[in-house]
Amino acid sequence: MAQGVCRYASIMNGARQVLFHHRIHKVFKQHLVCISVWEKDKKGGNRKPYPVSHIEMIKDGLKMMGPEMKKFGDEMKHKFRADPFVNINDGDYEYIWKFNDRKRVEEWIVSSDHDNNEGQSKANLTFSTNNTALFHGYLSQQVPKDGVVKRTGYCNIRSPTKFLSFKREDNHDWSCFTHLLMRVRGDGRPYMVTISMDRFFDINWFDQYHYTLFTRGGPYWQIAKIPFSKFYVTSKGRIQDKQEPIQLERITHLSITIGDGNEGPFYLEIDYIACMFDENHKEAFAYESYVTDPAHVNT
Amino acid sequence: MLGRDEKSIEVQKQLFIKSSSLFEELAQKREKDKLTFCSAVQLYITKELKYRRGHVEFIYSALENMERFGVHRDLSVYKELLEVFPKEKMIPRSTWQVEWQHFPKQQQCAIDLMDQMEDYGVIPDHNFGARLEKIFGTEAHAFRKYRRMMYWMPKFKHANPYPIPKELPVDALQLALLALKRMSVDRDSEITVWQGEGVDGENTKETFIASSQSHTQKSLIEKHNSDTPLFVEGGFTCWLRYASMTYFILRADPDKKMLKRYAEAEAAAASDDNLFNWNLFWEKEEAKSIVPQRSVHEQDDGTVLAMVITGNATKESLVSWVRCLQTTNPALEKIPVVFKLRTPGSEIQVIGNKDKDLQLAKNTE
Repeated sequence: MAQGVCRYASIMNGARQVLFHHRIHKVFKQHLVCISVWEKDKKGGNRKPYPVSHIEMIKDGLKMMGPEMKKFGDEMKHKFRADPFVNINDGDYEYIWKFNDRKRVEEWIVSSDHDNNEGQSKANLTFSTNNTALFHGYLSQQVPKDGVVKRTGYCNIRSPTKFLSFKREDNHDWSCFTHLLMRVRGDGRPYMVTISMDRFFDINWFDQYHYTLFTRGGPYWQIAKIPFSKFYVTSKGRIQDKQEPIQLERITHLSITIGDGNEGPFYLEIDYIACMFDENHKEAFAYESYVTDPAHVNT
Repeated sequence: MLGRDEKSIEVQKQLFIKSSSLFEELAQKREKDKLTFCSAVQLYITKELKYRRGHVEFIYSALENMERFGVHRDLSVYKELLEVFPKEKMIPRSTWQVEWQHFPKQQQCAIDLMDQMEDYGVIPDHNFGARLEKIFGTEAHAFRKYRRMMYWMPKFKHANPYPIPKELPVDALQLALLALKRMSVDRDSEITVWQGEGVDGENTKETFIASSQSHTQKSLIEKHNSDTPLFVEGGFTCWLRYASMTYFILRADPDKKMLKRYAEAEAAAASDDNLFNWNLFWEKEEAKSIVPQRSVHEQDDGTVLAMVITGNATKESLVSWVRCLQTTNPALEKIPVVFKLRTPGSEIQVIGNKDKDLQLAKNTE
């Protein structure tokens, strides 16, 4: 019977909603998902055990006390100084990540299907000689013969977690901006930009907003200006029937994924990722939000 | 699989083998094309006209074989495959039947078929939906999948600001022209093709040289100091959906003096101090100096002077490309050209912080 339930779940989810024209948005792992009413883990089962023992963790933690106290002091100073609210004007932008430093590039987290035993792709994020970040590697479509994974091939880079003092997790607040700006030089492949947010209830843990970063290819730099209104919501890699505009108050991570289903080398050079305010952008959400048949939505 | 008895698993395996062997047989006997593939489907339908035994297994093996027959991007073939399902037998009659996945194996098979369509960017049409409706009805999960595809896929169909035609040409030269056209930022760029025996250099007899260069790039070569070398760099990969190509560029090191001047000019234009160049209202505003305009080719990491895709991407073809360029750029004859090439497939050497990596990199040099 348990098997029956699992099967049912997989079919329910198996109504994989979309994968668009350029094969960007792809669900790579389609295994039997057991239905449960709650989520156990924020990482969705991909969590790995801590590599060090508790004693070592305490030792490392004590070493951090000095710098963290200093950081805490700075935060307090900043708080009591109460920096004035700055009005934002049309065309104003802010660099969120500018890759002109080796350290900033190394903070980013690189992963690929190989890390989760789901494929053979290789990825690397390096500080290039042009003072930029270079995301490159080899996208492999070779499916491991484990009988579970149906299709594979993805590589991903994710922004570092923002921390307050004492390693408290902090979020980005981009609510005053309308666009995402990226100066990139790619190889003509489409990449996927993912924005994930900090949400309280487990039903929303896996909500992510996506849009595609289309690259031109060739030796010239391009500036991609993607409106936040175009981002659509997905959960566990499946586009949702019930769409709602992105809420930019509590952004945890931004990641860039390659997974267009074509085997071969890829490279994407990134100069900066910024947010921008465009006064003339009035669109709240690019997709219709009419009510559809409630029996069919998200089933 | 665990919940089922071994006998039915065995039967399923046998059916799958049987239908794959049909495709195998036809692939060996006839040409691997749409006609052969569709005839295999028709063969099955005529044989199983009444009972459609093992049609799920047949469709799965057909999906696997589609790429081999070159029909994986053809909507009409997917429609043909839908005909294999028995009609009107699997339409749910009540809400309970809908929710408990009426004919789950068959529905999952149809969903997998549509999954494959998605993967290859095949957008269904209304006719496809009508056929699906006859099989599963409008309430089934398989039909919901179709509706979702019809909502989202056309939305992103034209999302790419650098569009690529849906059907890519098979000819390498046409593909190269497409890629060059897409990569050339300068609208003024002219794409020249040298082909055949008219070009000096032996290799061009069989292959081609497609080169892109604009007037601005030509004048940049003219202005270039003949003491400093130019570089032919590559091969870089460039993708057009599923086709990848290797291109090379003719590049000059960045002209730091000019870049500095551009930066100063940009800063001056952006600053509010220079908003008005007059003190009194009746004073005439006149430009004090000629502000250099930075072209798109002059980037911080180098100046792109030309791009090329050759048929075989060999060094010989690149040498003859430079010779061909000399006919339109006489200044190029005096400038030394250095070839900095790497094999297109080779991975980028990463030199890390660790001493070990540095040593490795030194050894390979």
